[in-house]
Amino acid sequence: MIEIGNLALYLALATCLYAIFATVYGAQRNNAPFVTSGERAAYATWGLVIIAVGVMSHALLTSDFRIKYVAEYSSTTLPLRYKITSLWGGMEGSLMFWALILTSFIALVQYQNRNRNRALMPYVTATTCTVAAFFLSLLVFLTPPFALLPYVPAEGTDLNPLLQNYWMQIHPPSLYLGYVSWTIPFGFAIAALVTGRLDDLWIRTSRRWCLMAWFFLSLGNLFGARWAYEVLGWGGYWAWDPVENAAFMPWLTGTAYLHSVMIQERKDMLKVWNMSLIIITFGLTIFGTFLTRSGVISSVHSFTQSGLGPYFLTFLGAVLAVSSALLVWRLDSLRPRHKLDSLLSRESAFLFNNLLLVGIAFATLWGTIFPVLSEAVRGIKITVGPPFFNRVNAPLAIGLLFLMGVGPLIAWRRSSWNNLASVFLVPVSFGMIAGLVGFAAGMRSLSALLVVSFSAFVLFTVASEFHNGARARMAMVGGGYVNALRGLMRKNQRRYGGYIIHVGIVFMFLGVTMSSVYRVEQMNTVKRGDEFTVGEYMLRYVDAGNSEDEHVATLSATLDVFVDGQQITTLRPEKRFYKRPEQPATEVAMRSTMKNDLYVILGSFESDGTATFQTYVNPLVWWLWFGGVVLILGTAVAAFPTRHSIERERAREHAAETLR
Amino acid sequence: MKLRFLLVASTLALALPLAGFESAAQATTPPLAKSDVEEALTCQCGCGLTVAACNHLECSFAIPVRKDVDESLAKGETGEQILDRYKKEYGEKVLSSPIAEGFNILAWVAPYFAIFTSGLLMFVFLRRRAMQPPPATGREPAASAPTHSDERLARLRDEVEDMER
Repeated sequence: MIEIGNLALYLALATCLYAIFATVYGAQRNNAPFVTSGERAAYATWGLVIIAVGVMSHALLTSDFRIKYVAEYSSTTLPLRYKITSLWGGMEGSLMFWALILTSFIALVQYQNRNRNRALMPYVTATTCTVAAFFLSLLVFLTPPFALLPYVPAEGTDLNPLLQNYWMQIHPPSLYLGYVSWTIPFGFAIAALVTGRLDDLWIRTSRRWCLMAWFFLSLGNLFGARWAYEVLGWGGYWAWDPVENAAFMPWLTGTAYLHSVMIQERKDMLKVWNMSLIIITFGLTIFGTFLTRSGVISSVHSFTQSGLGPYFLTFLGAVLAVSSALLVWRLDSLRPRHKLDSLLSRESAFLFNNLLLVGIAFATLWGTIFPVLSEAVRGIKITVGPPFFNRVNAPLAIGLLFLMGVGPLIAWRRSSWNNLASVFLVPVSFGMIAGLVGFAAGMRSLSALLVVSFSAFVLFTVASEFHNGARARMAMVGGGYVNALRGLMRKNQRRYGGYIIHVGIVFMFLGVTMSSVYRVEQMNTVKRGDEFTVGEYMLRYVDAGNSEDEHVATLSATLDVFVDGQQITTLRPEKRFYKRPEQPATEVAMRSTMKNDLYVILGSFESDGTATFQTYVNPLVWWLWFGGVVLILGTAVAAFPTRHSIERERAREHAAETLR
Repeated sequence: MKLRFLLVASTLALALPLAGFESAAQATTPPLAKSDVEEALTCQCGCGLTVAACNHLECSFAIPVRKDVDESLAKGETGEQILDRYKKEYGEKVLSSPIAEGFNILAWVAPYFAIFTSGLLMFVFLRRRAMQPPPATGREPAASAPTHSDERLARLRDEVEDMER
């Protein structure tokens, strides 16, 4: 079996390299059979990677400790679900998992475009296969996943206990899906540059891929935050760790692209900018992988550090150099055909939205790499931690929130100060009232008051857009209000799906701000029967107990929770002691409501029954996760293919082909 | 002009009182409280978090430091003096943000410099474009001040157009 896995990887690299050569050669020589053979080679690469992953999965499930990777990241006592997730628990496995997703996407995009976009597709295949070949080369030459141990251990070392959590089962796959999906739009962008087909064909073809990439990156970040919240046990969910930043930066530039691309579609402007954003976003996904793997910057999330850093950096340099060269080469063809009509227009608002999004991405990148710069220049190690990122990024993020409300209020092309004043008056007043209510309720933090005001402002403008749209549709086609709303969303999924996503983002803003600014925390050392109060909650330490199996020993405490003298729940925070590797871990106990989260960690436990609890009350944090659910809903509305959207897309493609 | 003033004034009205409240709230708070000092120090246990956020309840660094910060503030040492003491003992890496002096100023200035420069360039670019006469199409607003109903009609037309896109 092991030999089959190794052979599959070698053959996958060979077929991948052939796919690159054949598609480019075939396209250059107008030799269709060559292109077809290249595309088939890409399908074959996919099949071979599936075989390699299948062999590794089998080895993990059967605890084949001859393989070094299996011995290091699994054990016979590891629950089945974690045996499966240990595929991406270590470096070799995660690289193989990355290759699996990428080659699957390459196969899918080829199948989708088997009868269309034939001029672009050879170069799309070549570009995406180049990325796949890089990952396969790492697996074949530098970090062979099927490397054998000189002896067969009786038991494996086991998966890192921090990774043995539900959220870790879904966080890495979501993040990888997000990272890898950006390869496809990047492939289309490069293909457009190489072929000179710089109209919006590549944009329309890769639109759903962009949305999917953005969606999974959003989910990956959210799941990671939830994992940190539940597992790391420090009461927070985002620490501006380099690896967290690495996943956040492409999300920001990707978000900027999803907005600015609308201007290209409407006005045929910003072609260079959109092309640059795709290249930067893809570059940042590679940079993120470099950060996670290299160990250049210390991170609590670097579970798989290695010496691969220089290879990732070289690849990133090559990607940026080639992409930039192509961009410069095609600069003349990328000049806009239209001009901006007015400074007061939705286009301008989108441009400033882009400025802030890319600005936050730059500030995050700058803060992430600054310790390395400082050490190189001054020879002194410094730390750039959460206070820096919060101070630099918070004003920019609040500005962005404000622009989310401004965008829908300004008309496309041209508006006037007079009209702006009339359309802004009510929403701004609504925001002001919300801020004043917040102040009356005791809020004194400027950032919190601004977020509350701007959130109300955005929610009002979004609600107005739905209401006005429904009224416009009722006037056009008649019928009831609900039917008009439904028809509105069906006819323009992207716009109204986008608004729903904005609502989700507003909820997230509220959750993040309130839980950061108004968090209450307390540490108490108590005996059985003792009570202590945190915020509105009174907690009574009832008892402690322990349990043990072959995998983990667990110590748990029981706390009854009261509000106004009424018991509302019982919490059982745990301290776990994993046996392989020997490592303690905390299991947080939580009571989550829309108003706040009561979050309890069991710290230490003495033989006389005395226990120490760290307790937090995090206001409105529930809204952060609920915002994620709304975001999923909005993306589904924006991207779900309906009969209407498919017909419209076909009609456009037909028109574009006819014009060509 | 009057309406422009109204628009700017209402937006400022949204932000300025809040800024005033914030200043008032800060005026009653000491410059560096215990939580500020703990937030300004990075835990050296390897968790990567600040002393305030370190989750290791038996942490050999964060727990003694929290105790020391508490006692030192009670003795009358200022937050700045405490941070300076830790900097001398552990080096700059113990501080959770770069000190705004020398080369480190770049850390703070570069992001805003980049954003403001780009914003300025974008503003100049947009303004220059906007100065050019608009193409004469039927969809443009009238040269004279458009009325509210003009705007609504234009928006409705946009709605219809969007639905067909």
